[in-house]
Amino acid sequence: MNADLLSEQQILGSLVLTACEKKEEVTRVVTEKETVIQKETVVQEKVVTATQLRS
Amino acid sequence: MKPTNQLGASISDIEVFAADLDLQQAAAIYREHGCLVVRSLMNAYIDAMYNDIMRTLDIAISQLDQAEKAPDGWRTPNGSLFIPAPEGYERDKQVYVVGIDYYTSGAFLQAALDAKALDIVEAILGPNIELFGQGQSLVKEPVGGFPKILHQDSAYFEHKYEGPVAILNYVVDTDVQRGALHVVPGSHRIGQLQHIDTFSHLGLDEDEWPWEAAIPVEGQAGDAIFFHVRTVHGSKPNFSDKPRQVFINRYRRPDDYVTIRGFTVANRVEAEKQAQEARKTNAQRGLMVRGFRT
Repeated sequence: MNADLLSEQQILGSLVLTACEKKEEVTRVVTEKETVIQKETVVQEKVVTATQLRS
Repeated sequence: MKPTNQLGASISDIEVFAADLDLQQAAAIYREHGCLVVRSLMNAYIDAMYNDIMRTLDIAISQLDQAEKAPDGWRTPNGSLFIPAPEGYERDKQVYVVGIDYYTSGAFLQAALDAKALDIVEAILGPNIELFGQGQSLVKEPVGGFPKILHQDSAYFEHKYEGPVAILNYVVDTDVQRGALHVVPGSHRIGQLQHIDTFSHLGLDEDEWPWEAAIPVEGQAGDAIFFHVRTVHGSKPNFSDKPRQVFINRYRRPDDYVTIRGFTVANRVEAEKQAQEARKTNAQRGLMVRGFRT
């Protein structure tokens, strides 16, 4: 029974993590010249962990 | 007396007139001097560009209370970049880069597609041309608006091949007091110069490259200044009582790409180590404005 419960918690945790994985678009604009080439949107992979989600 | 720079060129050596344009002559001037002034080239777009730039700036100023801190200033939600204003100015921040580009201004895109401008770029780069960047507008606010000391753009974005041709266009009549662009004709042929960190980011040592090495390009609204990515250029503060608006379009061969990008001496040194691995990626492809990408 306990083993089944643990398994469900693991599955649920995995689903939460999957749901929280997302791509976040970060556009950096720092200097005059940087605006020339950084108009390309920088896409950063950001994995939000369950711990981060709770905090 | 006409201003003459260290390498011996004067303004008359680098200027032509849009109404009387000889493409091969214009391209030859560009190749020899790394810069070219085409008087009245952008006249058709000036009124609309002035309105769009100032409208964007007004929005940016209204958004200052929402501006995010950036390493060297503040960025407003509409993409404008501000830096600290000189003492005594009406605001504590002054604009640096106005958040206008081809995605926000039809006039800007139309200016970038100007047939005569592209004819000149084609005579320089060849039949296939892509846009580099999305257009840029710089406004020097009055009474001390920021200077940009002499530098090469290649210090910031060195390219694999010829590099981009930039066209800086005056939106208002611009003299030295109002922050006219200075260029050093012929400097594009002396290779990549060592830059140092300055208050206006990467720049040349002022002891080695004083303003006297350059010639000021004074001009009227609609005048266009073409310059090579290695041409030394810069502009002094705006000491007039009116803002100085310019917009810049950049073009390059469609196979060209940035190999080294840097904004400080330290991060450029790091980027130089990776230069051999640089490749043209899809993210670096600009819109084709002439010819075809194979």
